[in-house]
Amino acid sequence: MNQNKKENRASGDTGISNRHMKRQMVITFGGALILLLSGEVAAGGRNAILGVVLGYGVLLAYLWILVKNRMKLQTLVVSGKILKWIMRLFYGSFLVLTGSFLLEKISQITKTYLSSNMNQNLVRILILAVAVIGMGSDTQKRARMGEMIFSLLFWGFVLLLMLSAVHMRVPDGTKMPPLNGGPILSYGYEYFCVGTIMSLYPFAYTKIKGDSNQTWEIGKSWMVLTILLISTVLILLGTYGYPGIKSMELPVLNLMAGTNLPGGFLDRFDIIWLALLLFSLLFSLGSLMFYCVKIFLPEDCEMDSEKRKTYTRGILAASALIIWALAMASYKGVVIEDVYMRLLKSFYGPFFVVITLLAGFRKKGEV
Amino acid sequence: MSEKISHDIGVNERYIRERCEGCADIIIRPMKLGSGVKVRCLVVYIEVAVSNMALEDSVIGKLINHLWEIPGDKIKEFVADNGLGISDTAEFTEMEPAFEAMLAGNAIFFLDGYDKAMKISSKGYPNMGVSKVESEKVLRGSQEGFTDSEKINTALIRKRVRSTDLKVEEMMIGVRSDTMIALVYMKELMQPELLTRVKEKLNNFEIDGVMDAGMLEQLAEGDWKSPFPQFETTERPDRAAMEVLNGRMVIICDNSPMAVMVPTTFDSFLKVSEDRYNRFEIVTFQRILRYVAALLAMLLSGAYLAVINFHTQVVPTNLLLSSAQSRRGVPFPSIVEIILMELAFELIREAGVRMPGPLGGTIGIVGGLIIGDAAVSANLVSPMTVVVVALSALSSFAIPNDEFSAAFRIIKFAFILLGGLLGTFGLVLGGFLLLGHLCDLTSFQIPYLVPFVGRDKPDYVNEGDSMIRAPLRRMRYRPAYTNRGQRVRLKEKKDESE
Repeated sequence: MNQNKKENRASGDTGISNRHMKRQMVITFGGALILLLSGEVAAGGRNAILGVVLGYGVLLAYLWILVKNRMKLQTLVVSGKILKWIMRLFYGSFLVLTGSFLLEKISQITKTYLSSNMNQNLVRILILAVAVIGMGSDTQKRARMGEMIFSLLFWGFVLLLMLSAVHMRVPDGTKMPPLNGGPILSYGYEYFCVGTIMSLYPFAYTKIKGDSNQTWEIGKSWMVLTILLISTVLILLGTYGYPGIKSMELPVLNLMAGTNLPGGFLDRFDIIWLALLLFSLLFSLGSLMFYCVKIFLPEDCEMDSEKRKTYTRGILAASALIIWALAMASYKGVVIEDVYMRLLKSFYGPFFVVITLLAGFRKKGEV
Repeated sequence: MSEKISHDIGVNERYIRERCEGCADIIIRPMKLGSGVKVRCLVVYIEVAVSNMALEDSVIGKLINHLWEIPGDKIKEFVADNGLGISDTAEFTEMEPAFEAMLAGNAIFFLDGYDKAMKISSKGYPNMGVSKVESEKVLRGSQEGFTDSEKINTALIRKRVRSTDLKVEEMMIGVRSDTMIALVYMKELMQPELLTRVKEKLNNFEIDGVMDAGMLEQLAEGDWKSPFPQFETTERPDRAAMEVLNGRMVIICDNSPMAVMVPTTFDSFLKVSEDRYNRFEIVTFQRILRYVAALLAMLLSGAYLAVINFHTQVVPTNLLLSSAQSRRGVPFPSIVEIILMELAFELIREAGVRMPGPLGGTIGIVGGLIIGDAAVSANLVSPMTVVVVALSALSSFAIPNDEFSAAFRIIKFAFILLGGLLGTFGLVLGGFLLLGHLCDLTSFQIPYLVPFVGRDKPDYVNEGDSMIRAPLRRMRYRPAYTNRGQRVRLKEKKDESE
């Protein structure tokens, strides 16, 4: 039995197991996916739901290639004089852009629902500071955090869905757009592009020993995420109806506000769901800065511990600063929220795939 | 280099007198022994530490008495032949260890023409003796508590674990105090690296004196900035013995009635010794209660402020109205009200602890009831605030370990500020930082949050002794930090025969 457990490890050097990795993935993506995608998918009706299923299928195939090429991908951020910096800038720019997009969303929710009197810029700074200090850059620490809060967040969210399901009716399909291949493909592609963020995972788990199950281990995390997303979408459609959903920006927040605890000893407890959601989003934001360290300061870089500590702090501070600046930035009225999904679908998503495929052609051990 | 003990007792006496100049409590007693030809000898001891009775009662004391009847020229031969055969003696060839033994509370015997000194064991310095446990009271189980003598404390553990696998390693700490420290562990059960790490930590500093185990804790802690203790203390020998059997190390410091145990986890602070003696249902209930108490002690006041200042929609309308009515006439904002009451409570606690005997309890009642009631009547605070602060205080008392409880009491003030100024948003930020800190914390490389984390470890087995305690017959495994291959704690004989 013990032997099996030993083999079931994702990384020998960091001590992170597949269990840790799966839990971290669900927490990192869970809150963000459900908050930001559920409304859009619900508004797309059955086409969007089928698109998500299709996207998951394609993602599984991509994960297989990614896991296969992960060792070669790891070397890209330490290869050559120019290549490594191109790669670092490519992945780093994605991380800070995603961070600023997420920061903007979190600060908006906080300002609207939790702390309306506060200056939004102060909210942004507080969120960033807590995410970066709380998460840090230690792989083991992040794994422990994931393990500690997984049950709370996961079962908390399942409880929310169960309590909401009481109010739902069977969604009326007649009011939804008819099945159409174009939208299915479009939603599938979008979901796949969101999933390509997984291209970053090899950088956090260096020197991974051969483990043929890893595709399935990551695939299982995404399966959980996909099931959660689709369940939320169905409950949203059943609760508010297709036309109702279309008028809501983040309908999952309305869902939270509408739940009741049996007994009615608390008038509203959406505040508890919001707190859980905020916890998950802080974990996601912290993880982005954690990955910045892993990409700009790979564990393979030989460096004494004091110097590494200083560099780590520098990278964390710099990434937080850039995220904050990008979240505030506006060019001709265009802010990060307006361009992020477009950038992901037309630039980062395809390039993640191309880089992963090209990495596969590199010779083994080539640096 | 240490001074050698000379053949010439005059040289030895001069050295001792010179070194002990001004030490009125050290008795240097020259004697002449033997019938006929007298032989000079010297006994050096600390006046109170070595009583005359001890000298007469010890075997070597009796030997010295016998020397009066032996011819002087035979004494040296007699001592050499019989001295080392005596169980309560030790021989020294150098002055330094002889002095260490004398300062540890023994008498040292020198003989003219003999280049060795002999230790006459004594009961050592005065101490309180084994007394009743004060701070870790239980309804079931031994009432014996540690005393302030390291020797007695190790014996109290040995009394419960009568095995030669129980090792007691002694070492001196404190350049001037020479405080004796005993490292007590089960060789087979403890991870061998732990011993090396503990020794490294203890030898990592040079200090003039160690007066209590608390000083050792603070010096050897990995993350000294953390409010959470990384060493667990106990004054109960049964608890220490049980933890030794769990693969932990118990560190006993002379002059301290508290033993410290490593490695330490968050979970272990919420356990008490009688958890093992009582039935699993009630123990599980009590443990859940302690976890809830820890949360309440830290969060209740902050959460109250967050709700009444930012999220009043959470509270049912009737409660909200009555709460608002009770606050009428209170001149302070609710955050000031809570901080004032919390500080008043801390004052009462501090005064109660320092007051002697029954007066301490009286202070608690007077402070809690009369001052609380008077404060409400004078419109200084609202009744709801008193209820919240009292509940928070009660919760902090339900945490079994005082040092651990203190961490929550300190963090509570941060949550009061966060909840009062930022509402739930602040509480979530504080919670995230706290979780990050706890996940980062280790005690001798064992994660602080074991067994809630670490289930992925290759040799992980559920010990059934966490928040939920399994029935004793199902608690078959030792904790995760036990030596690998030694995890099985309980076997049914029936199983073996099958």
